[in-house]
Amino acid sequence: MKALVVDDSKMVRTVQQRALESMGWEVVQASNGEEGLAALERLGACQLVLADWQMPVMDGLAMVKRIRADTRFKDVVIIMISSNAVLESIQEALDAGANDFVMKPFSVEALKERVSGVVPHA
Amino acid sequence: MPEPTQSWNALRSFMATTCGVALADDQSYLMEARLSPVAKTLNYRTVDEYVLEAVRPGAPNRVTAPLIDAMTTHETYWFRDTPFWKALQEQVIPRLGLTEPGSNRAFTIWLAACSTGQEVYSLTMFLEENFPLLHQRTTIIATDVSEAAVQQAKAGVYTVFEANRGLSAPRLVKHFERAGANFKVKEHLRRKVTFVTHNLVTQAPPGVGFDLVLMRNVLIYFPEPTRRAVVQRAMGVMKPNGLLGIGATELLTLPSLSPGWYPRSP
Repeated sequence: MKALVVDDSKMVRTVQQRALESMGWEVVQASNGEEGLAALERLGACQLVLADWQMPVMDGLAMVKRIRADTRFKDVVIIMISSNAVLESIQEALDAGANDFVMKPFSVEALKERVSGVVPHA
Repeated sequence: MPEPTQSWNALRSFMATTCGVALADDQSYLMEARLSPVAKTLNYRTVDEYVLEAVRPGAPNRVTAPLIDAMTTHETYWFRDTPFWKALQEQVIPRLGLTEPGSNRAFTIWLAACSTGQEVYSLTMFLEENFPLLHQRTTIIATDVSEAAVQQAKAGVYTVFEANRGLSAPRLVKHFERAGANFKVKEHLRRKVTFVTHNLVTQAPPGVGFDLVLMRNVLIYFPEPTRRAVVQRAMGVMKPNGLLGIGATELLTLPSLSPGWYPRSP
């Protein structure tokens, strides 16, 4: 099972990578939306994307929309992760095609629970 | 000045007799960790002094209640334990005979050890999503030994940290409204639940004729005789075809419908 972690903070990417690896995921990192899309192309099979919202070059919402517009990635599960924790923004992310939304700050335990919630067999 | 061992022993015996909570030999750190903020707030010089005062027979509730609040565990999150919810949907509710077309019987639930409310609100969300007609006829009594937990549950307000624990974003936007930087359960769901401070060990059940009694992840804190007595009392206030739901790992020596679900014993 491969996962892509997209965040402009190296520290956040590391925390997410460790959490996913402890659940048995193989993890690839990218630091903005554009890099994320390129990584997705390279990976071929990828089951999960954790996407930050605010990032330079291409933000997470734009990246989610681009992923959802590409039928090759229709089964990829996307969890948006952002400190923009207002209900309207969460709805916007869901409308763009995110499957779930984790609010920052989050605990590693919470992240793992939510990943299990959207990818039950991981 | 009181000896730490004296207060620790007094606390253990108080927690065992009043709350049915058995503290282990190596858990004395819990006394210091959980009660020193309380002792400080209530202006006691030391934790030991506070404990001895709070567990004294006849001590006022304003002194004792914060001790119970701090010492009872509040580990809780949304939609905890997926198989529980699956069994509720596929086996338990169909068995109660409340969902047949034309049925207008009330659905009555007692949820004990509700802590800060995540489980009981998960239940109302679950019913609204999966059994909307039954949800309209549902009433729930939710109880907890901790007054502070009951107050928080009643308010239905959760921080980002709390909301992150197992609550999916689609459910968050559907069932909550904004409350400053926090999230508040919508009023029509809060209205379904009556919250009461209640001690499972020392008090009679808060009603009779329940279709379901849920007491998940609380029996594990009780010694065996207390556990048996609590279960027996709960069975006694269930309808003849009622069911008891407990944590899947809290095994009872009774025939079960599926892990953690027990029909009322004859």
